[in-house]
Amino acid sequence: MKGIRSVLYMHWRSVGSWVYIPWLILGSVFLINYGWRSFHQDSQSTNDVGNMVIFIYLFTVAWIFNGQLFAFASGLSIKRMHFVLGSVMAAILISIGSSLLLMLLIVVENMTNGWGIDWHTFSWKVTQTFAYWEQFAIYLLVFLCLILLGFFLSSIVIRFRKRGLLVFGVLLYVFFLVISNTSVNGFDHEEAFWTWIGQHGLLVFYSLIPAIILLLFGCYMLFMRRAIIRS
Amino acid sequence: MHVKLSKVRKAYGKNVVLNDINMVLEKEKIYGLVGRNGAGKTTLLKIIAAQLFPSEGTVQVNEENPFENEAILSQLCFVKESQTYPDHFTVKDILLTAKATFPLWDETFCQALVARYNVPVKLRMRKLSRGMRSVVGVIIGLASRAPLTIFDEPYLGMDAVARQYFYDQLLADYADHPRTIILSTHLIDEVSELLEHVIVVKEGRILMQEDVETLRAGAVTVTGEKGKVAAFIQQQHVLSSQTLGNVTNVMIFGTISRQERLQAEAEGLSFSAVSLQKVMVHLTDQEKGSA
Amino acid sequence: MSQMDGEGRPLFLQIAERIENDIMEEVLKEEEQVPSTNQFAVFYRINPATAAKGVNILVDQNILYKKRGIGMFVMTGAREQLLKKRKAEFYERYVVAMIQEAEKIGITLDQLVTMVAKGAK
Repeated sequence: MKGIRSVLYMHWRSVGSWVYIPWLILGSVFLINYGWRSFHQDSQSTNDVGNMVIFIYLFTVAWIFNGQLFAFASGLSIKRMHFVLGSVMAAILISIGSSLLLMLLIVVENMTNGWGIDWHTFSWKVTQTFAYWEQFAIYLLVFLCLILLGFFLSSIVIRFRKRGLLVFGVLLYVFFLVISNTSVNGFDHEEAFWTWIGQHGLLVFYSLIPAIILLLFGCYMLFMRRAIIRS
Repeated sequence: MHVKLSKVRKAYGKNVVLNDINMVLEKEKIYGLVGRNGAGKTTLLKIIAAQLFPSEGTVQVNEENPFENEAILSQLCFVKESQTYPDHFTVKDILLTAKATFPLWDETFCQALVARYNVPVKLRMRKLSRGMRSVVGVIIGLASRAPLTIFDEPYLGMDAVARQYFYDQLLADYADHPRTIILSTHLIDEVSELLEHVIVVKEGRILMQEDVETLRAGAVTVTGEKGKVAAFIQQQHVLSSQTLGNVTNVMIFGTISRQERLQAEAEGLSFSAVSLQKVMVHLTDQEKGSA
Repeated sequence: MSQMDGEGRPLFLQIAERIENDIMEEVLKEEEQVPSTNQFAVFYRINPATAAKGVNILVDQNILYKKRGIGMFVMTGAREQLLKKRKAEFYERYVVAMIQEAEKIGITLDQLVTMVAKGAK
């Protein structure tokens, strides 16, 4: 189990990239926007998706780190499964921390009535009406999903090289093409999908994320199990 | 820790990198792994460390398969020239992670080495010179005290003084804390006196596994009149031969008794010692198939 | 780098010889503790197994002896024994070779004795 601890420690030593830098970026984007908006006030209520920055940033960091940290961990003879488990544990911790921070900002945003200018940048319009714990859960799952997606894509490259990523991209494209364009026996998938969402509500839709997370985790584990460093 | 490889073969498609590798490494000895670039040294070491999988054959470390085996892997430290580190990691990050990983890590020893080598611990690893990067690897290998420590050409970019200090520390620490050490190197003369055993790899095969003392005693150059030398070396394993006019100079490997030697000397032949480096060069330099 | 000579003689013999020299020059006195195998190894920069082999030769010849759990000591009479051995070696290595060489180039025994006496002055 010492291996898992080492991997968690590696992520802890990377706290700058996981926490400081993305929140610094988000903070500066917020401040610049806030300044600009204060001067150009219009009475309209706005809700942009300013917090997307942090989601995309963490996804990218996850992708890059998986490769670099694995090469190092493997050099320290850390078991591959320990690397995977340690990394996923780090991902969960980072997701919890990031969601908490985001929620804190959302609470402040709501209490100040959109920073005094009715500007809602940290919450998503679609989830704005949800209870705080529901929003928290959704952010947590989305963070986790994106970080794991980063790990997963990186593991494809490690296991099957860049060609593997290309194959995966093509497969994904074909999958969506089939989903969105086929109407078998007059059944339109896309339309049925949105109808389904309409019937069950977004909360149910977000509950599908854990399924994706599990799938990503499973594939990540599978690909890393026989991963090797080519150098 | 002891290591056993049986009939190990590694191929990438048609490209055979290792073939029919059989070897046994006994515990608490220092082994030298020698061979030219591309002979398969690194691949062999990676297979022992379970960082690569053999296409055929078995690898056993302490009678167990090292693949995903925590009991084995936690006792193993593999320092390689090609090791990469996370871009954002400083030397301190790297040493702290190593400290957190190796159960037998000696922090005092690590700090002493850091001080002696003047390692800039606050710098990012990728900002370091090639030699300094090697030094960090060497420090990890030494301070880890891992029962199986593998150094694969660990000294790239290190100057002669830094290398000598590494050898001295390796020897002193090994004397106090015996462990199995594999040192892959092409600077055989620098380390030959540290080694107990030498394994020579050539074109993916093991050419020779020999006690260093035996090798040292067995390799000799015979010089003398052409005909007499030819007669003398009939029963010997010839590594190389040169003729200038009527004088021949032959490097042989084998056992020559004191009696034989005295007799040959009386006939006008002269003997001189050969450095291990020269033996290795000749062993590994011969044309394909003629070895 | 090496402290050993390059004669191609086994290292353990060289080690044994160095310890013998130290005993004869009384750098190591009789009944005195000698450095450990590891200390020898580190000092001469050689593999400890090789150093042990060198030390063991001297143990076999009763020059050194082991005290369990304490270390290695010089045997009483070791110096005497070594001097005797070296004298025998001297005869073989130098005297016999000198006489052979003298015969080869036509120096008579009388001339040789005179030369030795002259050289000793």
